[in-house]
Amino acid sequence: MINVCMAAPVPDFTEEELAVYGDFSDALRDGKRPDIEEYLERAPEAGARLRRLLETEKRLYAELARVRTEHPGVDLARLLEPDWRSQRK
Amino acid sequence: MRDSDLVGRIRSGEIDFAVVMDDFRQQVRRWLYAMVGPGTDLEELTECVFIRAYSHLGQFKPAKGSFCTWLHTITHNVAVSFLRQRNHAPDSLDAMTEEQGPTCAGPAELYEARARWERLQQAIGRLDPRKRHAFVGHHLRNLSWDRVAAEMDCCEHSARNWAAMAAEELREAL
Repeated sequence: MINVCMAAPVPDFTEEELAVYGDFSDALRDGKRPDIEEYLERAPEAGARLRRLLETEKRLYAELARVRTEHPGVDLARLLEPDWRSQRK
Repeated sequence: MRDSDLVGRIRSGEIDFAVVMDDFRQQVRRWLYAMVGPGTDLEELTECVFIRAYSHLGQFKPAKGSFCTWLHTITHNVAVSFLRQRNHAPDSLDAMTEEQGPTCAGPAELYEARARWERLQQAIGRLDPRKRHAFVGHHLRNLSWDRVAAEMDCCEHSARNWAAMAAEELREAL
């Protein structure tokens, strides 16, 4: 079984970075075309790491969209994480 | 292994096409060199052969000949196509326009896209299970962050953090 219980947040990305990242990812997932610069303005203290993260996120969604188009009907979630349910039992 | 088995296992993903082609790379280069001669970018033409072979794997018929023979036919066709273009174009590949060159831009992009997807799948497979679950949950199962967090028995902040760390790790595969 995977230990997914987290007593405290992993101290890696800051609260501000994760807020921007989460909203940016939501927008991409919803099929919108969020502007990176606009999102970066929400976190003026964040550095190059957040920009890199948002750029990566954009490329990831583009790649996933391409794969979905190329393989319609394939359950990518199950393909990429087939054992999640069994691990949880 | 029989050729039909080899092709079947490549198509099913059990065997990496690129690894198999590495075994044939020198042979294909020799065939190409014999047909197009020196002064040509053989590596580029070799990639054209592999791209065409990959995209036509389903057309390989073991009854008509070996895989090697089939690959040679493709090599021959690529070389002939290149020579035809060269006869109507400047001498050097560098001087050719994109439309004239033998770079098979469409198939090349397709090949690169498939290679990228393979890299990405492997990278996702190597992720820490928490990162993978946060990433798959939000990006592929369309779960909201709070749903991802609930499944992982963690707070929303942590769920986003795992997904963000996953994205960081996956960047190299893109």
